Amino acid sequence: MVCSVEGIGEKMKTSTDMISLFRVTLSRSLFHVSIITITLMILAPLLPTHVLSYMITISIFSIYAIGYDLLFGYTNQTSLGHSLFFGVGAYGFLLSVLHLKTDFWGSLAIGLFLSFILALIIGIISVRLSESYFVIVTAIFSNIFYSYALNATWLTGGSDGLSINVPTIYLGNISFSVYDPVINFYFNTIVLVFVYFLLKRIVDSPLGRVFIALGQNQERLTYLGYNIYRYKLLAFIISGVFTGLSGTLYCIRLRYASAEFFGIIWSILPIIWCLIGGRKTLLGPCIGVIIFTFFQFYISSLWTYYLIFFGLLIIILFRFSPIGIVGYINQRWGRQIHENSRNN
Amino acid sequence: MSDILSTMIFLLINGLVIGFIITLVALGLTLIFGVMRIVNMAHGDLYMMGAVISYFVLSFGGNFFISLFTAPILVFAISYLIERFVVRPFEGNPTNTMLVTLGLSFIIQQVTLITYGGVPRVIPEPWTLSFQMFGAQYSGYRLAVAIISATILSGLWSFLHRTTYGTFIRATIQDAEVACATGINTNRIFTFTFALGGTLAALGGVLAAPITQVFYLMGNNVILIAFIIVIVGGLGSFKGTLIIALLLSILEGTLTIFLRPVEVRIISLMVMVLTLLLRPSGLFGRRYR
Amino acid sequence: MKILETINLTKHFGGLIAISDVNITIEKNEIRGLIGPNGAGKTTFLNLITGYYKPTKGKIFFNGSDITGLPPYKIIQKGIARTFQLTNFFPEMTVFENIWLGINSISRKPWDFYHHIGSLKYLNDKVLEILNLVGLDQKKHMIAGNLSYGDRKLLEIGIALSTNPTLILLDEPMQGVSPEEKEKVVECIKRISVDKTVLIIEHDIDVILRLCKTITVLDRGKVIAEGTPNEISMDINVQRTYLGIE
Repeated sequence: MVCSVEGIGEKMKTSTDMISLFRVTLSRSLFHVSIITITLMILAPLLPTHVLSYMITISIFSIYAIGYDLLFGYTNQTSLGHSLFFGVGAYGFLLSVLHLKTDFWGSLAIGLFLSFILALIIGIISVRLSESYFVIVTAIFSNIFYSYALNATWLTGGSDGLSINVPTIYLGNISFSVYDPVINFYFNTIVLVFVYFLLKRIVDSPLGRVFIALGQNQERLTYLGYNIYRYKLLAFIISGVFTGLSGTLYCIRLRYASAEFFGIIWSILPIIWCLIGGRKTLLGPCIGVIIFTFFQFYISSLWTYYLIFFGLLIIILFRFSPIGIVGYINQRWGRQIHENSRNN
Repeated sequence: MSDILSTMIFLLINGLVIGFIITLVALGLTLIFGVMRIVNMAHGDLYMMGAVISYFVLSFGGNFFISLFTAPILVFAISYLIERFVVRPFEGNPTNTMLVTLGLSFIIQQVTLITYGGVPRVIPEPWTLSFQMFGAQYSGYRLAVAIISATILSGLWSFLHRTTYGTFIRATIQDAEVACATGINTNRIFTFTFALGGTLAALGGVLAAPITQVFYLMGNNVILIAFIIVIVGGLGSFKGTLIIALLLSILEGTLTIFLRPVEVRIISLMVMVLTLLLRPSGLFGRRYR
Repeated sequence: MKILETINLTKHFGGLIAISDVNITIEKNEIRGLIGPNGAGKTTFLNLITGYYKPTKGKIFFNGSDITGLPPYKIIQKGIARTFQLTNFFPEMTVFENIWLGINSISRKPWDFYHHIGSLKYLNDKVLEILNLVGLDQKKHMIAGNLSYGDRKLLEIGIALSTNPTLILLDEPMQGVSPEEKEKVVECIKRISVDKTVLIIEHDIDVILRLCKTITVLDRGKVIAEGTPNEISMDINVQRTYLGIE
């Protein structure tokens, strides 16, 4: 029987047996990703600082993007409130270092924990709402946090923000300083790889299938005995925590956080990344990050009113390319048909 | 009358007046949702356009009444075009329309920034009459705003309940498919309603311009409270929007006495959260998909 | 023993009375037919049983326990499953996965995020069992959206079976099925009713007469007749409803 065949040798055309498909995909991507990662890690000390800097930003945004895609691409819930978790992750770390004087890992943990708590609370409130309400309510939440952060300058530094000295990382007796760009790069890359494989695990697991089904036909899932709100909440919390993680990493990288981190732009960026690169694929959002960050740097330096470009991009993206680049590639080469993003 | 009491009443009435304006904006939002089942994220910017056009009219030598007529007409046309070319391709997909109108919101704001500039400007009130009431001075203009808004609201009600076209719109709100089946041109109704919603927002903007400053981001604050109102009242429910708009304006008006604006918003947020926990479709809303 | 029992089941929608004082009892291992003109309330009845609607009045008992007012997912977990008139599945997933979802739902850890789905043999084997039972095992690789209409009906039944129900509610399984594929569906229903209780809503009287030992007739929200196929075809009320004979 086909389903018990294992191994990379299985040829797939249009037939997509779930099991052999995933065996193949996992092995293959494990290989590719490992090669790329190891190469980069070896090259790192040789690369100029601004390139490393750029790549660190890419890794951080990729973590945000993949985490967000779990919610957006897989379970089809569009949240406009994730900038909230981004900001909380950043400020959680920053304020812990500043006021609680916790060490690196402690502050990181606090940032993550706060994101988790907020994701839990906001998720419980929002996830049972209808599609439109969900978008609006998440937007309202992040907007209010943004307003508060702008105002509460005593806590957040407002729009100008606050800077900190990032404490050194201690692993047992060895210490690393994130002020060294190569160390920073290694750190972020390792986290990214970890996040990628963790999410891949989830996506390939029964939970992942439920998430995918959630994105296609929620109602039917209810009639299969699933308490869909629990699953939607779970997806929301997971994505919220990863967003918080990316916020913390961003603060670590910049040694700074500002109220602007709560702005709506940071809620829209992951949507753009996922749309460009391809929803419901794990690599897609990363590619979207790479392409868009590249353009963003160029456009914003050329034009003060680059937000017009953002707006136009959203409209065009939704109009003409709902499946993104990776989705397009998948269609052409037919391999990972399973992980194809929704067609409009 | 004691000072505190008269200050309180003063702030309360001011809150109510602003509430009237926000009601216009919120009604536009709920009307669009009721008929088309979509949410217009650029709604606040249509409000802003009303104010900005008003400024331009005044700077070209016009007066308040002229802007009260031209701004809505212009925004009606612009909203019509928006529905026709930006929104219509996505009808049927609420999330996509929301995100696309959000993108549009950026574009509108930036274009305004380029043309009108980033400096908030003050428009003088058209009349400098003021009244003595309850021990405080009330601006005649603000009272006029209340009267004009009330007129617009009753005009809207009459239109929806007394005219044929209004009945068509109400039919479409009830059930767009059936309305279409009875021969009503729902496409035209969609476009018209969207434009009407935008016009209401613009009217709100024109009325608000002399009270608050005209600024390219002024829509953001209004849309936030408008959303809270329609969520609590129930998207698509007229009654809900009206009642909640009234109640929330009174609440916010009262709270501004003791609290800062941000904190007042947080209280409104709490009200929204409470409502959602108890009735996820809003207090007067029906279960929409 | 009684699998399903409704007592004075009533549902109002505002002014519209969809179901009124309906008392239906279904015994274990029955194949019950539920017929009636359009708008009689058959699908409403189904929706009430599965928890989509809450009854205005009355109670529903399943296997002795009161399930009135429970949310759908709880009712399904208790052992009721339904198919949908307008096929309602996961169009971008394979046939295999469509069935798999129900099997996973009643398994020990439906939220398992650790194991690779390929490795969960005990789940995958059950999926194959059901695929064999409904006759779709040759097509398990296919993307569900690409199935022919008749096969979709089979898939619907398969999905309903996947949660291992005691009672299956089939909502017009023959609707729109071509004559060639009809036999497949009928045979499928026969197979599944061996160890399960089945309620079939159908307009195709032929199929009802073949499959069901007892038939309940609904009209305008009320039960107007109940009995064997013979009794029903002789019943004056049924004739009046269907043929307009006075």
